[in-house]
Amino acid sequence: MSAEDEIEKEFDALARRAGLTITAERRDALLEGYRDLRVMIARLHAPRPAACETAFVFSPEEQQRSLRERK
Amino acid sequence: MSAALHDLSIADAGRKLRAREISSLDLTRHALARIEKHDGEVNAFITVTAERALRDAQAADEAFARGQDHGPLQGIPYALKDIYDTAGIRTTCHSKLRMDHVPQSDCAIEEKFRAQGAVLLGKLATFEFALGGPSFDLPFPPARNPWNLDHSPGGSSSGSAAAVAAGYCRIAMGSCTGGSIRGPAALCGITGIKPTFGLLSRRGIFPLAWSLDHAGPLTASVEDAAITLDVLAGHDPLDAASARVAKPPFRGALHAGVKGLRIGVPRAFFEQAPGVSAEVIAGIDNALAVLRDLGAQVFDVQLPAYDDYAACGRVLMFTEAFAVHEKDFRERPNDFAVSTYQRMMLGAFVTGADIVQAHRLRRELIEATQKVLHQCDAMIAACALDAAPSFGGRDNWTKPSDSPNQTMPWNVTGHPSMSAPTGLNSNGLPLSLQIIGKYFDEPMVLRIGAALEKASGWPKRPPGLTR
Repeated sequence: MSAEDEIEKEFDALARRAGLTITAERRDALLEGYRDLRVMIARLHAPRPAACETAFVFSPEEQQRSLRERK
Repeated sequence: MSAALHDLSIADAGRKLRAREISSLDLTRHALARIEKHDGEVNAFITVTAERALRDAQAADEAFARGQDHGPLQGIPYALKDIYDTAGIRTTCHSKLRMDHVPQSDCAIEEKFRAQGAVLLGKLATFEFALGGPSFDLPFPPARNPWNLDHSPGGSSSGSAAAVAAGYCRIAMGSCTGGSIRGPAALCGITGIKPTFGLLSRRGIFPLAWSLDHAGPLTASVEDAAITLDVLAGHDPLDAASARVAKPPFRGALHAGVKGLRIGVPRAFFEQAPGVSAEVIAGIDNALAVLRDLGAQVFDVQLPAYDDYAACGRVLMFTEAFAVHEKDFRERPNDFAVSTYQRMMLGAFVTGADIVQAHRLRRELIEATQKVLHQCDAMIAACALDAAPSFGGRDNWTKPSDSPNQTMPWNVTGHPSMSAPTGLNSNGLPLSLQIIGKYFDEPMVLRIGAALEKASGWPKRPPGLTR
Protein backbone atom coordinates (compact mmCIF):
# COMPACT_ATOMS: atom_id res chain seq x y z
CA MET A 1 0.00 0.00 0.00
CA SER A 2 1.41 3.41 -0.94
CA ALA A 3 1.92 6.19 1.60
CA GLU A 4 -0.91 8.08 -0.09
CA ASP A 5 -3.25 5.12 0.32
CA GLU A 6 -2.23 4.88 3.98
CA ILE A 7 -3.14 8.52 4.53
CA GLU A 8 -6.55 8.05 2.90
CA LYS A 9 -7.19 4.95 5.00
CA GLU A 10 -6.24 6.81 8.15
CA PHE A 11 -8.45 9.73 7.11
CA ASP A 12 -11.44 7.46 6.53
CA ALA A 13 -10.90 5.67 9.85
CA LEU A 14 -10.73 8.94 11.81
CA ALA A 15 -13.84 10.26 10.04
CA ARG A 16 -15.70 7.06 10.96
CA ARG A 17 -14.53 7.28 14.56
CA ALA A 18 -15.81 10.87 14.73
CA GLY A 19 -19.15 9.74 13.31
CA LEU A 20 -18.97 12.15 10.38
CA THR A 21 -20.55 11.80 7.00
CA ILE A 22 -18.34 13.41 4.38
CA THR A 23 -19.96 13.96 1.02
CA ALA A 24 -18.08 13.09 -2.15
CA GLU A 25 -17.91 16.69 -3.34
CA ARG A 26 -16.28 17.88 -0.10
CA ARG A 27 -14.01 14.89 0.49
CA ASP A 28 -11.12 16.03 -1.71
CA ALA A 29 -10.86 19.45 -0.09
CA LEU A 30 -10.97 17.96 3.38
CA LEU A 31 -8.44 15.28 2.53
CA GLU A 32 -6.08 17.95 1.25
CA GLY A 33 -6.52 19.78 4.54
CA TYR A 34 -5.87 16.56 6.44
CA ARG A 35 -2.53 16.08 4.70
CA ASP A 36 -1.61 19.55 5.82
CA LEU A 37 -2.84 18.89 9.36
CA ARG A 38 -0.58 15.84 9.67
CA VAL A 39 2.46 18.04 9.05
CA MET A 40 1.35 20.45 11.77
CA ILE A 41 0.65 17.64 14.23
CA ALA A 42 4.09 16.14 13.65
CA ARG A 43 5.61 19.37 15.01
CA LEU A 44 3.69 18.95 18.26
CA HIS A 45 5.23 15.59 18.99
CA ALA A 46 8.84 16.68 19.29
CA PRO A 47 10.46 15.20 22.43
CA ARG A 48 10.30 17.46 25.48
CA PRO A 49 11.15 16.91 29.15
CA ALA A 50 8.59 15.23 31.39
CA ALA A 51 8.64 18.34 33.57
CA CYS A 52 6.97 20.20 30.75
CA GLU A 53 3.50 19.37 31.98
CA THR A 54 -0.02 20.52 31.34
CA ALA A 55 -1.27 21.13 34.89
CA PHE A 56 -1.42 24.71 33.79
CA VAL A 57 -4.25 27.05 33.08
CA PHE A 58 -3.43 29.53 30.37
CA SER A 59 -3.43 32.91 32.05
CA PRO A 60 -1.23 35.92 31.34
CA GLU A 61 -1.91 37.13 34.87
CA GLU A 62 -0.34 33.93 36.23
CA GLN A 63 2.57 34.23 33.80
CA GLN A 64 3.29 37.75 35.03
CA ARG A 65 3.14 36.68 38.68
CA SER A 66 5.41 33.74 38.03
CA LEU A 67 7.92 35.93 36.20
CA ARG A 68 8.00 38.42 39.10
CA GLU A 69 8.56 35.64 41.63
CA ARG A 70 11.44 34.19 39.64
CA LYS A 71 13.27 37.53 39.32
CA MET B 1 -17.57 70.88 6.61
CA SER B 2 -19.43 67.66 5.87
CA ALA B 3 -16.73 66.25 3.56
CA ALA B 4 -14.18 66.19 6.38
CA LEU B 5 -16.36 64.70 9.12
CA HIS B 6 -15.15 61.15 8.52
CA ASP B 7 -11.56 62.31 8.89
CA LEU B 8 -12.08 63.79 12.33
CA SER B 9 -10.27 61.74 14.96
CA ILE B 10 -12.36 60.59 17.91
CA ALA B 11 -10.63 63.15 20.10
CA ASP B 12 -11.24 65.99 17.62
CA ALA B 13 -14.84 64.95 17.04
CA GLY B 14 -15.32 64.80 20.81
CA ARG B 15 -13.97 68.33 21.25
CA LYS B 16 -16.27 69.64 18.50
CA LEU B 17 -19.27 67.80 19.91
CA ARG B 18 -18.67 69.27 23.34
CA ALA B 19 -18.15 72.75 21.86
CA ARG B 20 -21.44 72.22 19.94
CA GLU B 21 -19.62 72.96 16.66
CA ILE B 22 -21.01 69.71 15.26
CA SER B 23 -23.70 67.33 16.44
CA SER B 24 -23.76 63.58 16.70
CA LEU B 25 -26.59 63.68 14.15
CA ASP B 26 -24.19 65.43 11.71
CA LEU B 27 -21.61 62.67 12.19
CA THR B 28 -24.21 59.93 11.91
CA ARG B 29 -26.02 61.26 8.84
CA HIS B 30 -22.65 61.72 7.16
CA ALA B 31 -21.64 58.15 7.99
CA LEU B 32 -24.95 56.73 6.76
CA ALA B 33 -24.61 58.73 3.53
CA ARG B 34 -21.13 57.29 2.92
CA ILE B 35 -22.43 53.78 3.55
CA GLU B 36 -25.30 54.41 1.14
CA LYS B 37 -22.87 55.77 -1.47
CA HIS B 38 -20.09 53.19 -1.26
CA ASP B 39 -21.22 50.03 0.45
CA GLY B 40 -23.01 48.57 -2.53
CA GLU B 41 -19.48 47.85 -3.77
CA VAL B 42 -17.47 47.50 -0.55
CA ASN B 43 -19.96 45.11 1.18
CA ALA B 44 -18.63 45.92 4.64
CA PHE B 45 -22.09 45.78 6.23
CA ILE B 46 -24.46 42.85 6.59
CA THR B 47 -27.00 44.95 8.48
CA VAL B 48 -27.15 48.76 8.62
CA THR B 49 -29.05 49.91 11.71
CA ALA B 50 -29.89 53.37 10.38
CA GLU B 51 -32.95 54.00 12.56
CA ARG B 52 -31.18 52.88 15.70
CA ALA B 53 -28.15 55.02 14.76
CA LEU B 54 -30.25 58.14 14.34
CA ARG B 55 -31.96 57.46 17.68
CA ASP B 56 -28.59 56.96 19.38
CA ALA B 57 -27.28 60.19 17.85
CA GLN B 58 -30.36 62.15 18.90
CA ALA B 59 -29.99 60.81 22.44
CA ALA B 60 -26.30 61.73 22.51
CA ASP B 61 -27.04 65.27 21.35
CA GLU B 62 -29.77 65.64 23.95
CA ALA B 63 -27.36 64.42 26.62
CA PHE B 64 -24.77 66.99 25.55
CA ALA B 65 -27.48 69.66 25.67
CA ARG B 66 -28.31 68.64 29.24
CA GLY B 67 -24.64 68.80 30.17
CA GLN B 68 -24.39 65.02 30.56
CA ASP B 69 -21.12 63.47 29.45
CA HIS B 70 -20.84 59.69 29.57
CA GLY B 71 -17.34 59.50 28.15
CA PRO B 72 -15.15 59.95 25.07
CA LEU B 73 -17.35 57.83 22.79
CA GLN B 74 -20.57 59.75 23.44
CA GLY B 75 -22.06 60.58 20.05
CA ILE B 76 -19.32 58.73 18.12
CA PRO B 77 -20.41 56.24 15.40
CA TYR B 78 -19.06 52.66 15.54
CA ALA B 79 -19.90 49.25 14.12
CA LEU B 80 -19.59 45.63 15.26
CA LYS B 81 -18.44 42.44 13.57
CA ASP B 82 -21.54 40.30 13.09
CA ILE B 83 -20.48 37.80 15.74
CA TYR B 84 -21.09 40.36 18.53
CA ASP B 85 -24.52 39.80 20.10
CA THR B 86 -26.81 42.82 19.89
CA ALA B 87 -30.21 42.63 21.58
CA GLY B 88 -33.00 42.66 19.02
CA ILE B 89 -30.61 42.96 16.06
CA ARG B 90 -29.89 39.93 13.86
CA THR B 91 -26.42 38.46 14.51
CA THR B 92 -25.61 36.04 11.70
CA CYS B 93 -21.89 35.19 11.98
CA HIS B 94 -22.10 35.63 8.16
CA SER B 95 -23.52 32.11 8.02
CA LYS B 96 -26.53 30.33 6.66
CA LEU B 97 -26.62 28.50 10.00
CA ARG B 98 -27.35 31.71 11.99
CA MET B 99 -29.43 33.63 9.45
CA ASP B 100 -32.37 34.08 11.82
CA HIS B 101 -30.53 34.47 15.10
CA VAL B 102 -31.72 37.53 17.02
CA PRO B 103 -30.03 37.74 20.44
CA GLN B 104 -32.00 38.59 23.55
CA SER B 105 -29.17 40.55 25.13
CA ASP B 106 -26.10 42.58 24.26
CA CYS B 107 -22.56 41.32 24.48
CA ALA B 108 -20.36 42.94 27.13
CA ILE B 109 -18.61 45.22 24.61
CA GLU B 110 -21.92 46.52 23.26
CA GLU B 111 -23.04 47.22 26.83
CA LYS B 112 -19.99 49.46 27.22
CA PHE B 113 -20.60 51.31 23.94
CA ARG B 114 -24.23 51.87 24.93
CA ALA B 115 -23.25 53.11 28.38
CA GLN B 116 -21.04 55.70 26.67
CA GLY B 117 -23.87 56.88 24.41
CA ALA B 118 -22.04 55.86 21.22
CA VAL B 119 -23.90 55.38 17.92
CA LEU B 120 -24.28 51.89 16.44
CA LEU B 121 -24.20 52.00 12.62
CA GLY B 122 -24.67 48.26 12.12
CA LYS B 123 -23.21 44.79 11.89
CA LEU B 124 -20.24 43.93 9.73
CA ALA B 125 -19.21 41.17 7.35
CA THR B 126 -16.79 38.50 8.54
CA PHE B 127 -15.35 35.26 7.29
CA GLU B 128 -17.99 32.70 8.29
CA PHE B 129 -17.83 32.12 12.05
CA ALA B 130 -14.56 34.10 11.98
CA LEU B 131 -12.67 31.38 10.08
CA GLY B 132 -12.13 30.26 6.51
CA GLY B 133 -11.76 32.87 3.83
CA PRO B 134 -13.67 35.27 1.62
CA SER B 135 -16.47 32.99 0.45
CA PHE B 136 -18.92 33.33 -2.41
CA ASP B 137 -21.07 30.37 -1.28
CA LEU B 138 -22.70 32.19 1.66
CA PRO B 139 -25.90 34.25 2.00
CA PHE B 140 -23.94 37.54 2.02
CA PRO B 141 -21.13 38.63 -0.30
CA PRO B 142 -17.59 38.97 1.06
CA ALA B 143 -16.35 42.45 1.97
CA ARG B 144 -13.97 44.08 -0.51
CA ASN B 145 -10.86 46.12 0.07
CA PRO B 146 -11.53 49.87 -0.25
CA TRP B 147 -7.98 50.36 -1.62
CA ASN B 148 -8.85 48.15 -4.59
CA LEU B 149 -12.22 46.45 -4.84
CA ASP B 150 -10.74 43.51 -6.75
CA HIS B 151 -8.73 42.65 -3.65
CA SER B 152 -9.70 41.06 -0.35
CA PRO B 153 -9.59 43.11 2.84
CA GLY B 154 -8.33 39.99 4.63
CA GLY B 155 -10.16 38.53 7.56
CA SER B 156 -11.79 37.32 9.44
CA SER B 157 -12.79 40.84 10.57
CA SER B 158 -13.12 41.76 6.90
CA GLY B 159 -16.07 44.13 7.14
CA SER B 160 -14.58 45.83 10.20
CA ALA B 161 -11.37 46.70 8.33
CA ALA B 162 -13.22 47.71 5.18
CA ALA B 163 -15.64 49.95 7.12
CA VAL B 164 -12.85 51.89 8.82
CA ALA B 165 -10.73 52.14 5.66
CA ALA B 166 -13.75 53.37 3.70
CA GLY B 167 -14.37 56.09 6.30
CA TYR B 168 -17.77 54.87 7.47
CA CYS B 169 -16.62 54.99 11.09
CA ARG B 170 -13.44 55.45 13.13
CA ILE B 171 -14.00 52.31 15.25
CA ALA B 172 -15.13 48.86 14.18
CA MET B 173 -14.86 45.97 16.59
CA GLY B 174 -13.30 42.73 15.45
CA SER B 175 -12.26 39.47 16.99
CA CYS B 176 -8.99 37.62 16.73
CA THR B 177 -8.16 33.94 17.15
CA GLY B 178 -5.13 33.74 14.88
CA GLY B 179 -4.83 37.20 13.35
CA SER B 180 -8.35 38.30 12.46
CA ILE B 181 -7.89 41.86 13.72
CA ARG B 182 -4.28 42.60 12.74
CA GLY B 183 -4.43 40.82 9.37
CA PRO B 184 -7.32 42.77 7.83
CA ALA B 185 -6.18 46.01 9.47
CA ALA B 186 -2.78 45.49 7.82
CA LEU B 187 -4.28 44.88 4.39
CA CYS B 188 -6.56 47.92 4.67
CA GLY B 189 -3.97 50.41 5.97
CA ILE B 190 -5.50 51.00 9.40
CA THR B 191 -4.66 50.22 13.03
CA GLY B 192 -5.71 46.89 14.54
CA ILE B 193 -4.87 45.87 18.08
CA LYS B 194 -5.26 42.47 19.68
CA PRO B 195 -4.97 43.23 23.38
CA THR B 196 -3.56 40.90 26.02
CA PHE B 197 -5.71 37.77 26.40
CA GLY B 198 -8.37 38.61 28.95
CA LEU B 199 -8.16 42.41 28.78
CA LEU B 200 -11.47 42.83 26.91
CA SER B 201 -14.50 40.73 27.74
CA ARG B 202 -15.64 38.22 25.12
CA ARG B 203 -19.00 37.59 26.77
CA GLY B 204 -21.67 37.48 24.08
CA ILE B 205 -19.23 37.20 21.17
CA PHE B 206 -19.71 33.97 19.25
CA PRO B 207 -16.63 31.84 20.00
CA LEU B 208 -14.24 30.41 17.46
CA ALA B 209 -11.69 28.87 19.87
CA TRP B 210 -12.05 29.84 23.51
CA SER B 211 -8.41 29.65 24.54
CA LEU B 212 -7.27 31.83 21.62
CA ASP B 213 -10.17 34.26 21.15
CA HIS B 214 -9.66 37.98 21.77
CA ALA B 215 -11.89 41.00 21.18
CA GLY B 216 -10.29 44.17 19.90
CA PRO B 217 -10.79 47.35 17.90
CA LEU B 218 -9.84 48.25 14.34
CA THR B 219 -9.45 52.00 14.17
CA ALA B 220 -8.39 54.78 11.87
CA SER B 221 -5.47 55.83 14.07
CA VAL B 222 -3.41 54.75 17.07
CA GLU B 223 -4.99 57.44 19.26
CA ASP B 224 -8.46 56.18 18.31
CA ALA B 225 -7.36 52.69 19.41
CA ALA B 226 -6.07 53.99 22.75
CA ILE B 227 -9.34 55.83 23.45
CA THR B 228 -11.37 52.75 22.54
CA LEU B 229 -9.34 50.44 24.78
CA ASP B 230 -9.67 52.94 27.61
CA VAL B 231 -13.44 52.61 27.38
CA LEU B 232 -13.68 48.86 26.78
CA ALA B 233 -11.00 47.33 29.04
CA GLY B 234 -11.99 45.96 32.40
CA HIS B 235 -12.74 42.82 34.36
CA ASP B 236 -15.92 40.92 33.53
CA PRO B 237 -16.76 38.18 36.03
CA LEU B 238 -19.01 36.57 33.43
CA ASP B 239 -16.11 35.91 31.00
CA ALA B 240 -14.10 32.97 32.37
CA ALA B 241 -10.89 34.33 30.81
CA SER B 242 -11.33 37.94 31.86
CA ALA B 243 -8.26 39.32 33.61
CA ARG B 244 -8.50 41.00 36.98
CA VAL B 245 -5.91 43.71 36.44
CA ALA B 246 -5.78 47.47 36.94
CA LYS B 247 -6.56 49.31 33.72
CA PRO B 248 -3.29 50.62 32.27
CA PRO B 249 -3.05 54.26 31.14
CA PHE B 250 -3.59 53.60 27.42
CA ARG B 251 -3.35 57.24 26.39
CA GLY B 252 -0.87 58.28 29.04
CA ALA B 253 2.35 57.61 27.16
CA LEU B 254 1.03 57.92 23.63
CA HIS B 255 3.26 60.84 22.72
CA ALA B 256 6.25 60.00 24.92
CA GLY B 257 8.40 59.01 21.94
CA VAL B 258 10.71 56.04 21.65
CA LYS B 259 14.04 57.47 22.82
CA GLY B 260 15.88 54.87 24.86
CA LEU B 261 13.41 52.08 24.17
CA ARG B 262 14.79 48.61 23.38
CA ILE B 263 13.12 47.06 20.33
CA GLY B 264 13.74 43.38 19.55
CA VAL B 265 13.30 42.09 16.01
CA PRO B 266 12.63 38.34 15.48
CA ARG B 267 13.98 38.66 11.95
CA ALA B 268 14.23 34.91 11.35
CA PHE B 269 10.43 34.74 11.63
CA PHE B 270 9.73 36.69 8.50
CA GLU B 271 12.86 37.22 6.44
CA GLN B 272 12.77 33.77 4.84
CA ALA B 273 9.02 33.10 5.26
CA PRO B 274 7.37 31.56 2.19
CA GLY B 275 5.54 34.25 0.25
CA VAL B 276 7.04 37.24 2.04
CA SER B 277 7.29 40.26 -0.22
CA ALA B 278 10.49 42.28 -0.54
CA GLU B 279 8.33 45.40 -0.19
CA VAL B 280 7.08 44.22 3.22
CA ILE B 281 10.64 43.67 4.43
CA ALA B 282 11.72 47.04 3.06
CA GLY B 283 8.79 48.67 4.88
CA ILE B 284 9.83 47.06 8.17
CA ASP B 285 13.47 48.06 7.68
CA ASN B 286 12.45 51.65 6.95
CA ALA B 287 10.35 51.73 10.11
CA LEU B 288 13.23 50.30 12.16
CA ALA B 289 15.51 53.00 10.73
CA VAL B 290 12.96 55.64 11.80
CA LEU B 291 12.90 54.20 15.33
CA ARG B 292 16.72 54.24 15.47
CA ASP B 293 16.72 57.86 14.30
CA LEU B 294 14.25 58.67 17.05
CA GLY B 295 16.62 57.20 19.65
CA ALA B 296 15.47 53.60 20.08
CA GLN B 297 17.90 50.69 20.32
CA VAL B 298 16.99 48.10 17.70
CA PHE B 299 18.48 44.60 17.79
CA ASP B 300 17.66 41.10 16.54
CA VAL B 301 16.19 38.54 18.93
CA GLN B 302 15.78 34.79 18.61
CA LEU B 303 12.45 33.10 19.22
CA PRO B 304 11.49 29.44 18.71
CA ALA B 305 10.61 28.50 15.13
CA TYR B 306 7.59 30.35 13.75
CA ASP B 307 6.15 27.07 12.47
CA ASP B 308 5.96 25.75 16.05
CA TYR B 309 3.75 28.66 17.11
CA ALA B 310 1.64 28.28 13.96
CA ALA B 311 1.16 24.52 14.32
CA CYS B 312 0.31 24.82 18.03
CA GLY B 313 -2.20 27.60 17.42
CA ARG B 314 -3.88 26.07 14.42
CA VAL B 315 -4.29 22.60 15.92
CA LEU B 316 -5.86 24.14 19.04
CA MET B 317 -8.01 26.47 16.91
CA PHE B 318 -9.37 23.76 14.63
CA THR B 319 -10.07 21.45 17.55
CA GLU B 320 -11.82 24.01 19.74
CA ALA B 321 -13.78 25.31 16.73
CA PHE B 322 -14.93 21.80 15.86
CA ALA B 323 -16.07 21.37 19.46
CA VAL B 324 -18.15 24.56 19.17
CA HIS B 325 -19.80 23.41 15.93
CA GLU B 326 -19.81 19.62 16.34
CA LYS B 327 -23.61 19.30 16.26
CA ASP B 328 -23.94 21.30 13.04
CA PHE B 329 -21.08 19.36 11.42
CA ARG B 330 -23.04 16.17 12.04
CA GLU B 331 -26.46 17.52 11.05
CA ARG B 332 -25.89 20.31 8.48
CA PRO B 333 -22.32 20.00 7.20
CA ASN B 334 -23.10 21.33 3.75
CA ASP B 335 -24.53 24.56 5.12
CA PHE B 336 -20.98 25.70 5.94
CA ALA B 337 -18.96 27.44 3.24
CA VAL B 338 -16.38 25.11 1.72
CA SER B 339 -13.44 27.10 3.08
CA THR B 340 -14.89 27.09 6.63
CA TYR B 341 -15.64 23.39 6.39
CA GLN B 342 -12.18 22.58 5.09
CA ARG B 343 -10.52 24.14 8.13
CA MET B 344 -12.92 23.64 11.01
CA MET B 345 -13.76 20.03 10.23
CA LEU B 346 -10.07 19.14 10.70
CA GLY B 347 -10.65 19.40 14.44
CA ALA B 348 -12.42 16.06 14.25
CA PHE B 349 -9.17 14.39 13.15
CA VAL B 350 -7.05 15.51 16.10
CA THR B 351 -6.40 12.94 18.84
CA GLY B 352 -6.27 13.43 22.59
CA ALA B 353 -2.50 12.91 22.55
CA ASP B 354 -2.14 15.62 19.91
CA ILE B 355 -4.02 18.09 22.08
CA VAL B 356 -1.94 17.31 25.17
CA GLN B 357 1.24 17.82 23.16
CA ALA B 358 -0.13 21.10 21.79
CA HIS B 359 -0.70 22.36 25.33
CA ARG B 360 2.80 21.29 26.38
CA LEU B 361 4.27 23.08 23.38
CA ARG B 362 2.17 26.13 24.16
CA ARG B 363 3.70 26.33 27.59
CA GLU B 364 7.22 26.09 26.15
CA LEU B 365 6.48 28.81 23.61
CA ILE B 366 5.04 31.14 26.24
CA GLU B 367 8.11 30.75 28.44
CA ALA B 368 10.50 31.28 25.53
CA THR B 369 8.61 34.39 24.44
CA GLN B 370 8.58 35.78 27.96
CA LYS B 371 12.37 35.39 28.17
CA VAL B 372 12.86 37.34 24.94
CA LEU B 373 10.42 40.08 25.95
CA HIS B 374 12.33 40.38 29.24
CA GLN B 375 15.31 41.63 27.17
CA CYS B 376 13.39 44.40 25.44
CA ASP B 377 10.47 46.82 25.76
CA ALA B 378 8.67 45.44 22.70
CA MET B 379 9.27 43.51 19.49
CA ILE B 380 8.62 44.43 15.87
CA ALA B 381 7.89 41.75 13.28
CA ALA B 382 5.99 41.27 10.06
CA CYS B 383 2.21 41.28 10.11
CA ALA B 384 0.81 40.56 6.64
CA LEU B 385 3.53 38.97 4.51
CA ASP B 386 2.30 40.76 1.42
CA ALA B 387 -0.25 43.34 0.36
CA ALA B 388 -3.92 42.39 -0.06
CA PRO B 389 -4.41 39.42 -2.40
CA SER B 390 -6.81 39.72 -5.31
CA PHE B 391 -9.93 37.57 -5.09
CA GLY B 392 -8.77 35.71 -8.18
CA GLY B 393 -5.35 34.99 -6.70
CA ARG B 394 -6.22 33.52 -3.33
CA ASP B 395 -5.38 29.95 -4.32
CA ASN B 396 -1.99 30.54 -2.76
CA TRP B 397 -3.43 30.40 0.79
CA THR B 398 -6.21 27.85 0.64
CA LYS B 399 -4.29 25.21 2.59
CA PRO B 400 -5.14 25.30 6.30
CA SER B 401 -1.47 25.77 7.21
CA ASP B 402 -1.06 28.70 4.83
CA SER B 403 -1.57 32.15 6.16
CA PRO B 404 -1.00 35.54 4.62
CA ASN B 405 -0.11 36.81 8.12
CA GLN B 406 2.40 36.06 10.89
CA THR B 407 -0.03 36.80 13.67
CA MET B 408 -0.82 33.45 15.30
CA PRO B 409 2.20 33.41 17.68
CA TRP B 410 0.71 36.13 19.91
CA ASN B 411 -2.65 34.40 20.07
CA VAL B 412 -0.81 31.31 21.30
CA THR B 413 1.06 33.31 23.96
CA GLY B 414 -1.62 35.96 24.62
CA HIS B 415 0.73 38.95 24.31
CA PRO B 416 -0.68 42.26 23.02
CA SER B 417 0.14 43.03 19.40
CA MET B 418 -0.86 45.67 16.94
CA SER B 419 -0.61 46.07 13.19
CA ALA B 420 0.58 49.40 11.86
CA PRO B 421 0.84 50.64 8.25
CA THR B 422 4.33 51.20 6.80
CA GLY B 423 3.37 52.62 3.41
CA LEU B 424 2.01 51.52 0.06
CA ASN B 425 3.41 48.96 -2.33
CA SER B 426 4.05 49.56 -6.04
CA ASN B 427 0.37 48.79 -6.75
CA GLY B 428 -0.88 51.30 -4.23
CA LEU B 429 -1.91 48.74 -1.60
CA PRO B 430 -1.04 49.13 2.11
CA LEU B 431 1.94 47.39 3.73
CA SER B 432 2.34 46.79 7.43
CA LEU B 433 4.32 45.63 10.42
CA GLN B 434 3.41 44.29 13.85
CA ILE B 435 4.36 45.58 17.31
CA ILE B 436 4.33 43.03 20.15
CA GLY B 437 4.40 43.99 23.82
CA LYS B 438 4.64 42.45 27.26
CA TYR B 439 1.46 41.24 28.97
CA PHE B 440 -0.87 44.16 29.73
CA ASP B 441 1.64 46.64 28.33
CA GLU B 442 -0.63 47.95 25.60
CA PRO B 443 0.54 51.49 26.44
CA MET B 444 4.04 50.60 25.16
CA VAL B 445 2.65 49.05 21.97
CA LEU B 446 0.50 52.13 21.35
CA ARG B 447 3.40 54.46 22.14
CA ILE B 448 5.65 52.85 19.52
CA GLY B 449 2.76 52.76 17.04
CA ALA B 450 2.08 56.46 17.60
CA ALA B 451 5.72 57.35 16.94
CA LEU B 452 5.72 55.39 13.68
CA GLU B 453 2.37 56.83 12.63
CA LYS B 454 3.59 60.38 13.18
CA ALA B 455 6.81 59.77 11.28
CA SER B 456 5.11 58.12 8.31
CA GLY B 457 2.20 60.51 7.88
CA TRP B 458 -0.61 57.99 8.43
CA PRO B 459 -3.58 57.64 8.60
CA LYS B 460 -4.25 57.84 4.86
CA ARG B 461 -7.44 57.24 2.90
CA PRO B 462 -7.88 55.05 -0.21
CA PRO B 463 -8.02 57.02 -3.44
CA GLY B 464 -11.61 57.51 -4.52
CA LEU B 465 -12.81 57.48 -0.93
CA THR B 466 -11.19 60.69 0.24
CA ARG B 467 -14.48 62.61 0.02
